[in-house]
This record gives sequence, structure tokens and C-alpha cells, in this order.
Amino acid sequence: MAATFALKLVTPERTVYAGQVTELLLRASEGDMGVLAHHVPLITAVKPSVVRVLDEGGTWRRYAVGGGFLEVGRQVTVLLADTAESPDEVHRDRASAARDRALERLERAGSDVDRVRARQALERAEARLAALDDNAPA
Amino acid sequence: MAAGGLQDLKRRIKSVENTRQITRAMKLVAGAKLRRAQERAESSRSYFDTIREVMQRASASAGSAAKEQLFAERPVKTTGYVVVTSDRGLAGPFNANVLRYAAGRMRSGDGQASVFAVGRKGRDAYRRRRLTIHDEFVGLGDDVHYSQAKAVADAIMGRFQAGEVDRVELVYTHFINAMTQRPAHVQLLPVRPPSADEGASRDDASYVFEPDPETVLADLVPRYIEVQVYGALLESKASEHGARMTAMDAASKNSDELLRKMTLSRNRLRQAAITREIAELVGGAAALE
Repeated sequence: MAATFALKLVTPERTVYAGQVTELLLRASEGDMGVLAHHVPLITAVKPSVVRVLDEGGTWRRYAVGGGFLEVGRQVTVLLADTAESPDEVHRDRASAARDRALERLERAGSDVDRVRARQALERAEARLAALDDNAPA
Repeated sequence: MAAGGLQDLKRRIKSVENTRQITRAMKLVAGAKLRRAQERAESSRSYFDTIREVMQRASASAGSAAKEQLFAERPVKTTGYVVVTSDRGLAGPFNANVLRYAAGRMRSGDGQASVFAVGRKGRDAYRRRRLTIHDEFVGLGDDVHYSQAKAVADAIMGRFQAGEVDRVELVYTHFINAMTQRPAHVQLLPVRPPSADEGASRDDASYVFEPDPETVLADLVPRYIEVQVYGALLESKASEHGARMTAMDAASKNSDELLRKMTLSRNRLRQAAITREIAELVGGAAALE
């Protein structure tokens, strides 16, 4: 069996997942990355994306994460997410409505701040929709 | 006439009974809400502790450039106070305590005091005192959402970066237990990196930052402030319910005591009336013989 490491996925409102996992896949600020046991200690920002976790039992879990931070520590790896939802918690209609809204805002965005916000909203909505539709691990 | 006094007393007893029913119900409701608020505070603790640790590590590794925006101390002309109160009253001394504490902080603080009012009670109090209110956040409800804390934090950071306030302090009520709550404060801006006391157990120097500590820090700081505000909102909410529960418990007990006394005098009055009637009857009968 592959080596495991302790992972915690927490949001300000609750702990979404905590347990031993074999593999963690996510989109960091510098690109997609994977974490296995004995990874070098690392801190990086996480983009809104689908985070995939291969748990001890060999099941892939998906979470729609709305941005945050990853801290890979020696004892425990923590993903600090602004929001995190499993696919059955995502509302498809709400997510696609949010995507449409974000696209519209992106077109009309005047200032840079508006554009950045709209882009982030778009990424979050797309992460949610991707978590719904995609079954195969990356 | 004695019967009138008896009637008045009966009415008062009824009225106190009604009040007691209300205070009892409020106590029960506050108890249930307190439990929920505590659970929420509990479930946010893990995030809070971790972000503290990461902040501490990142700020230890980051150069001075990243620290300028939100870290730099500057001459303090105005200090903003984020004062967290409740929307509703009947919570014992809860709001009075935090407002008094905030007033003390303002007296000893630097520069002109101004306010970010969270909660209707605080906003009304500062309106009466004619203090500058930058932003107000009322009607937060019983379940505090992270988005509400984010709105508060955004407002604070905006004003700070625009130079409208040179320092921001957060005044809230620290929840100790249902009986005890204590007002407390923490400086939000400029950001004071958490001290290295508890993070020392892990090995700091070996962390890799992607892309670099400065970028990570710049992303991290706003969230750190949000989380501090969120924590303060949760603590204050739990304290509010705790204070209300205690106040309503005391009120119910006072009603019990009042009712006991009034029932006693009601019974005495009634007994006196009966005795007098009997005496009159006996007297009347004796006069006939």
C-alpha cells in the first residue's frame, strides 16, 4: 500500500475533511500540483479549482474549492479554503447562474478591481460546475 | 375597601406571571442559540489556528517590501474602532460593558477616534454621541456568516489604504462561559504578525514558498484580518446569548420571588376578609338573641 499522510481541509465555517490520504491534487498559484507523502514543506496559494483527494480506502473524493492556501507540513498537510463543497453540496443552477453573472460582469468591468473580482467569481463558479461533471480523477 | 386591594393584587400577580413566562421563554431560546454559536466558534478554530501559524511563518520569511502596505506603522492621526455590539437589547449589561470598554480604549488611544459600528445598539449609541461612523453593519442575525465578516474586513482595509484611518482596533466581547463575558480588543491594522510563541514547535526555516513569501503574504493578510473579524463576531454572538440567558434567568427568579410574596399577601388579605365576614355574622347572630 502506498504511504499516506494526514490531510485537513478546513474552511472558516467548518472542517470539511480530515484523515489519512495517499494523494492530493490541486491547482496552486503556479500551476497544477500533486502532493504525496513525504513532500517537502511548502506554503502556496490555491486557485479556485477542483481539489481531488485519494483517501486511505482508495476512493477519490472531489471538492469544489473557492481559493485558499495550502500548507504542506512535516506532520500534517492543511488546505485552508475560503469555501469547499463536495459535489452533492453544489447547486448546479446556482453555480451556472453565478457563472453567467460573472461572464457578464467581466464584459462590462470598468476598473481593474472589478475585472479581478469578476474573474475570481468566474473561476469559483467553474470549479463548482467542474466538480459536478467530472468523475475521472485528473 | 379591602376587596379592591385584593382585586389589584390579583391583577398584579397575573401580570408578573405573564412576564415570567416571557423571560423564561427568552432564557430557553438564548440557551439554544448559545449552544449553536459555541459550535460555530468551535468549528472555525481549526482554520483560525492554522492561518495564524502560516502568517507567522510567512511574515518571518518575507522581505520588507511586502510588509509596506498593511504592516507599516505610520503617524496616527485617526484611530478606527470596530465595536461589536448586538442588534437587540434585553441582554443584561452586554452592550453597556463593551461600549464602556470601547470608550476607555478611545480615551487612551492616539488621534481622533472614529467608529465602524457592528450591531444596531452600538450604532445608535455612537450616533447619539455624534462620533464619526465610517461604516455600519446592522441586522447580522443569529447565525454569523463568513461573508459578513468579509464585508466588515473589506471596509476596514479600504479605509486604511485610503488613509482615512491610520490604525484600526477591534473591540468585541470575549466569551468565557455562559455566566462570564469580558470585553477585549485586538489591533487589526497595521497588521501585527502573530508572535512566534507556539509555532516554534515546527521547523520554520525549511518551508518552500511558492512563488515567494511576499506573494503568499499579500494573499494571506486580507484573509487573516477577515478571520479575526469573523472570530470576534462569533465570540460576541456567543457572549450576547450567554448574557441574555443569565439576565433572563435572573429576571425569572425575581418574578418567582415577587410572586411568592404577592401570593402570600393575597392569601392573607383573603383570609382576613373571610374572618371579618364570619365575625360580622357571629356578631349579628349574637345581637338577635
